[in-house]
Amino acid sequence: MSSLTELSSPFIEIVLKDLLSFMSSPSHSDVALPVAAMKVMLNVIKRSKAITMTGLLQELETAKEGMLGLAASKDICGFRSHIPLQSGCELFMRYVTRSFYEMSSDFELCIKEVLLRGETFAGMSLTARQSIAEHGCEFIREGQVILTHGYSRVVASLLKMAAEKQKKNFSVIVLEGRPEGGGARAAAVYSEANIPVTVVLDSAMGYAMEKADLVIVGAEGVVENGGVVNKIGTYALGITAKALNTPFYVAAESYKFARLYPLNQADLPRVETGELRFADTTLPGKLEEIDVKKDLITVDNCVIDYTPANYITLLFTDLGVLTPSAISDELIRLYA
Amino acid sequence: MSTEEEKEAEKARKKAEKAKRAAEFAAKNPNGFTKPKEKLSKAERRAKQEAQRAAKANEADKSKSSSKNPKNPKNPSSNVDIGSNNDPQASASRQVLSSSPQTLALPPPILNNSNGNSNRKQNTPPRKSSTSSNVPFSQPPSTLNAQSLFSHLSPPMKPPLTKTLSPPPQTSKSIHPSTVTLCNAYSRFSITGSNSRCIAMLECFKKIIGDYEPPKDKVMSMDLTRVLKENFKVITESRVHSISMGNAFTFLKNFVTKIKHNEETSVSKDNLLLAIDQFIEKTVQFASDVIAKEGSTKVKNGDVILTYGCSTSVKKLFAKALDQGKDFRVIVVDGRPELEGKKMLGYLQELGIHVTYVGYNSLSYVMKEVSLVLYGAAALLSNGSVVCRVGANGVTLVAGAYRKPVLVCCETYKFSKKVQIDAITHNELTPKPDEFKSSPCSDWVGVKYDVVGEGVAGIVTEFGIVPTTSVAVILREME
Repeated sequence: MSSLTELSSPFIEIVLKDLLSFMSSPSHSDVALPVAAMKVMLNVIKRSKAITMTGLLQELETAKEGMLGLAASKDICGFRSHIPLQSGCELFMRYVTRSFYEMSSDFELCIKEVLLRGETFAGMSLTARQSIAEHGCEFIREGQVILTHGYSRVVASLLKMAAEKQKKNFSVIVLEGRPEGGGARAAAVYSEANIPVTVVLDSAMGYAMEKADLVIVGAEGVVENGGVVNKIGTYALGITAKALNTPFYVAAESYKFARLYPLNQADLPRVETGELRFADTTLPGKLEEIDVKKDLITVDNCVIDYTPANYITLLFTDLGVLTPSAISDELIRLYA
Repeated sequence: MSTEEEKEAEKARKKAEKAKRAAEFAAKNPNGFTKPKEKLSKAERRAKQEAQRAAKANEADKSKSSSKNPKNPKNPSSNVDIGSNNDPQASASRQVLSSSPQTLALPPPILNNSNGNSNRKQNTPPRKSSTSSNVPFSQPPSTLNAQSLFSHLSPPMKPPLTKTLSPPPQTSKSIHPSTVTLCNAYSRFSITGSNSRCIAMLECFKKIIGDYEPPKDKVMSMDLTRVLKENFKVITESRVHSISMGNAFTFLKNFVTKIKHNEETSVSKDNLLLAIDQFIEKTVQFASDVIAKEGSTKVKNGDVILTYGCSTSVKKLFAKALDQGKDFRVIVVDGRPELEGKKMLGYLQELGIHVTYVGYNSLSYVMKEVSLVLYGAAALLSNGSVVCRVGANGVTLVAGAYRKPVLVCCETYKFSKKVQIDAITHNELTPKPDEFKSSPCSDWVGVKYDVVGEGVAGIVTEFGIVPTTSVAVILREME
């Protein structure tokens, strides 16, 4: 406990500065938050003056807590959860301890090896998207209609690979993805890759499902029971897909495998975001906000939901194409 | 009209011929699929032949009177409960189910039950024990179903155990007095619950090992294995061993076989006793402490937790959650005849947790307000089936109907490589409760366990919460 307080403020300040610079630098615009967190942790190891493994792990733990704290307060995650950040940190720490146990007792040598391995690990996480796209695009066939939800970098790279490299002709229906409207952004990306896109409201989910041959979504976290935590609406999409017998695929990097076991929606970690505003967009002219600041009215803007494993057909990951039950097997192997 | 009758008679004749051929086939292939047939005594053979003859005669009678059900060659009366099902395959498989293997220790594998081999019935030797019901003929039809469904299970032991208390003379030296005491406790159900039974057995083995002196001309590891095996056999005769006991015994046996030849006896014994103590401490007790910690993360303020039975790890979990200052209340659902929930009720009241105690019949009434269902398991099988106290399957189904998450607590030493898809093929019968002893209804079918195939959201183990599909992976990782 005492070492924790000793490490605190100046230490965390450097960590957070590091994280923010990673997030804001233009060359890293395509870097996911967990990968940035891993790089931050690598820097922590480089700077560390710890002489034991326990000391080093303590520093990493403090760095993790600091980053999670920043994510909660400063909203660097946007309308997203801190789950990928947490899972990225935890996996990296697991990686470090594993390397330590496999290595000799020489701490200096061990640190060198950990740094080396850590770099490759962070690098692997960057190439993950590429390998997921390679696995996933095999599931897309000529002339299909693909339904997706909001904007996901993994899904985008997958669809782009299918269209540009494999020259497949298919079309995409994308849900708007309120509140941040990732769907519109996704539509721009897809049309640039010459993929015909239709944008529909989130509430058109059932209407659009009838036309879809398959559903592909990204994930913020893949949880231990094989389900996924993702942008709000994914659960409803999964239920609709199941009801209409449409395959439901999830594309996610393995660094998003989280040590979470949600039992239902109420069991998810609460992510605080700002309150949303509501307006009638069909009216011509200026948008007039509808007042929801009355007594008896509660606005509940949950940003994530949990899709249980039984709604998921397959998961495209950098470890291969996995069934939901294989996820927990991977996690047991990682942490047991 | 008359031609129809002729047709019926013709059909019945063919059926009888088929049965005859089947009997011949059975005689030629006495081994069937599962295990070697026991040698029949002369009297037993005669009894079997007579039974076959009677069946045939009965068949002929039936065909004459153009009975509605000419298809069942062996047990005409058993058709009563099967109802109007005339499918020969189906009735054959039912017959197989009602056939009686001799021991519970080797129940028929599930797959063999469903292959519809109608020869099996004739193949089965007459029942050894006269206490188990001789299914057809004399029984009222309504009880036939349940009776015949579980007739392959050996009848519950009746205390006092005169039979097991006097072991055969050549082995009697190996049977330790504490084994006899333990057997009595098991058969009287004064020690129940898979953890308690396992610990009691290991304590008994500790006494056996403590008093053990290897004969001069024998190797300790081999001789001690024999002694332990003999004692274990006697223990299992008092009450069928639980999977926890089986796994613990396997652990012990493996340890004994590793005893070095040149080691001092006292050193080996000390090592063994230490290993047993560590097993109890780590694998059983510490595991349930970790389970309590892992499971308590799922208890939130304002939760209403429904529990069934009286599991050690669930009790620890409640205590842990209370320690963490969580505000929750518990509904204890209890089922007859054991009413184990009473123990849970007493325990929770002592802790000062708000408890509601309801009977099994109010299950669906209380389920609405529940936020989590939690119970302990006797074993987990590699296909993800949960073996637990009878009644838990009903609780799980009702919870599923109300969309309530179900968590099952189970230490990994109770994980088994076995596969079971129903609670019929392998179970344990309970003795008739006292209140029914004088009842005119003479049949009692009580089973001990349920097998829960689906509806379980997760298993709380000492490795964290895992889905039921991961049992096989954990078993592999543990090796």
